[in-house]
Amino acid sequence: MIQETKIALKNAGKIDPMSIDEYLNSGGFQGLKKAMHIEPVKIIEQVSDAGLRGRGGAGFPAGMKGRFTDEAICHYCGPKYLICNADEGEPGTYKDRVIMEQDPFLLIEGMLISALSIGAGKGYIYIRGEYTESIRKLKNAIDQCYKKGFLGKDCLGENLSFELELRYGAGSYLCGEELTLLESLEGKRGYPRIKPPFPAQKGLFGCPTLINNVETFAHVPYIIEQGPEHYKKFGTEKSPGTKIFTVSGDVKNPGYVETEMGVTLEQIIELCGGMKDSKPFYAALLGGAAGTFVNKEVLQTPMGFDTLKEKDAILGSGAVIVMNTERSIYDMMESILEFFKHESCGKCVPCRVGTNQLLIMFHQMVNQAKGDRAKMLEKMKQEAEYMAANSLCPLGSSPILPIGSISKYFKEDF
Amino acid sequence: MTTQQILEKFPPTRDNILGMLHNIQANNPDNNIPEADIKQVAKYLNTTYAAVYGVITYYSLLTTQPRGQYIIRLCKSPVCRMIGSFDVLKSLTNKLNVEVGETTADQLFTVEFSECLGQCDKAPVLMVNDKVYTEMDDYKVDNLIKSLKKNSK
Repeated sequence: MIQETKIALKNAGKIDPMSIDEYLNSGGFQGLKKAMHIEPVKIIEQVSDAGLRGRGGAGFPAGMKGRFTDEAICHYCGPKYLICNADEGEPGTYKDRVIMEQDPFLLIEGMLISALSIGAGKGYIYIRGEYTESIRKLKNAIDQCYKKGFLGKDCLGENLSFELELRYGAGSYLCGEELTLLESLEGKRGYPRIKPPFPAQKGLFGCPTLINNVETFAHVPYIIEQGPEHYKKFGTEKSPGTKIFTVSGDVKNPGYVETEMGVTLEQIIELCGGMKDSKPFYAALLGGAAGTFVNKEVLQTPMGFDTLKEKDAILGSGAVIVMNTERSIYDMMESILEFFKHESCGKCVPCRVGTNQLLIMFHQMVNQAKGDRAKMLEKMKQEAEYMAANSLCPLGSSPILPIGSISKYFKEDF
Repeated sequence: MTTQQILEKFPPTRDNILGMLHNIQANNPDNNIPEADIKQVAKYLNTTYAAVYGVITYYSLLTTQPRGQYIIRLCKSPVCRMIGSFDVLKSLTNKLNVEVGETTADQLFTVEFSECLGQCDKAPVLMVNDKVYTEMDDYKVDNLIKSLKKNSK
C-alpha cells in the first residue's frame, strides 16, 4: 500500500500548534534562516526550479508568479504586498484549515521567505470568517512571532521589516478568487476585477502584490531548506511535490491524506480504508463544485494537474468526494448548481443569468423521460460553455467543469 | 462597548470596514448591524451610507436584519447534503418550529443555510455562532438545542 509523504503536514499532530518553541525545536524557521543568506532573486529561482505549482486549484507555477511580481517592482517606488489566500470555500476542501490549525508557524515561515524574495514589507492573511478555530491558532502564532522577533521591525535583517495582519472574509466564496480577494481586502463588495493587469503588476491598493494559497506557502520552507532537486524527487515530472487530498463521502475513514502527486484515486480510497460498508464505487467529484465528476475509468489515473487534464478531469483544490452506487448524481448536480447560483456575484450577465438558467433547466430535466434528459444535458452543456467563454471571472467558467464531466462519464444515466 | 469605541480601534480607512462590521455585529445583542450603526460607520470612514450598506448586503455573514441569540448555520454543500443535512434541517425546523431564515418567537434561535464549512469528513455539520458541531443527527440536534436553551437562562 502507498505511504503518505508529508511536507505541508510534516509537523501536523506532532507539535503543539500554539507553541512557537515546539515549532523551533522541530527544526522550524531553518528555511527562513537559509533564505536570509541568499539573494532574493535566487529564492524565486529555487521555487521556480522546484516546479512548485499553486495549490489553490489552478496549478499556476508559483515561481513564475514570483518572477512576474519581481519584474513589476520598481525598487524605489511604493510598497509591495504579500497576501496569503486562506479563503478556502471550495466544497469538499479543507486542506488549508488543517495546515492553519495544526501548523500555523509553517505558513508564517513560508510567507516570510516569500516576503524576502520580493522585498514586501507588509503581508495579509485573508481568512474566511467561518474558520474560527484557524483564526484562533493564527492569531496566537502571529502574536508569538512578534514577541520572538520573527515578525516586525528588522525581522528579516537590517532595514527589512515585515508586518503581518490577519483579515477576515465574511462568507463569500467568490472572494477566494485572487482579484476579488483584493477588492474585499480593500473594503469593497466582492466583485471581480478585469485582468490584466494581474496582481503582480497592479494588486492591492494598486501596488505589486504576490498572492499564494496557504498550501503553496507551506511548501516554500521545505524547498529552500532541502533544495529544489530534492523536492523534485517527489511527485510527477509536471506536478512535483506532494498534495493534500481531502477525502469525504462514502469511504470508511473520511479525512485528509498528504501523498506524492501522481497517486491514483484508487490508492487514495485505499488510504482512507476503502469504500464504506464495501459498497461499490460509483463516482468521485474531484476538486469540489468547480470540479469534475469521474467514474471508475479514472481510478488508475495518476493524480496530477496534467495527467487528469488528459482525462478531461481536474485536480483542483484536492477535494475528493467519493460516492457509492446508492448515491444519485442528480442530487449532487442540484446541490452544485444551487451553490453557483448563490455565489454568483451578479456583476456580469453571462454568470448571473446563466447560473440561474442552469438551475431552471435542471429542474425541467429531472421530470423528463430518459433520452430527453440526455438532450437537456447537452443543452445545459452548451449554456455552460457559453458562460465559460463570456464570463469575467473563474466562477462563470466553472459550471462547465461538473456539467461537461457528467456528460462525458455519466451519459448512460440520463 | 459602544459602536464608536469599536470604530476607534481601527484606523479610519476603508480597508478596515469588514473588521469593523464583524465587531459591530458581534457586539449587537440582535446579531445585526442596524441603520444607526451604518450611518456611524459611513461617517467614520467619510463615505456614503450606500457604500457601507452595499458591503453589508454583499457578504452573507453580515446582515441588517435582527436575529436570535444563537445563529444556527447548517451546511448545505454537496457532501453534507449527500450524508444527510436535509434530515438535520427537518429536526431543526420541527424542534424550533421555524423555517430557514426565521427566528424563534423567544428570540433565541435563527436558522440559516451556509455553504461548505470545510468539515466535510465529519458531515453533516452546522455552526452555532462561532462553534462547529459535526456529525449531526436528530439525537444530537435535540441535545444541542436543549443545552443552548439552558445556557441562555
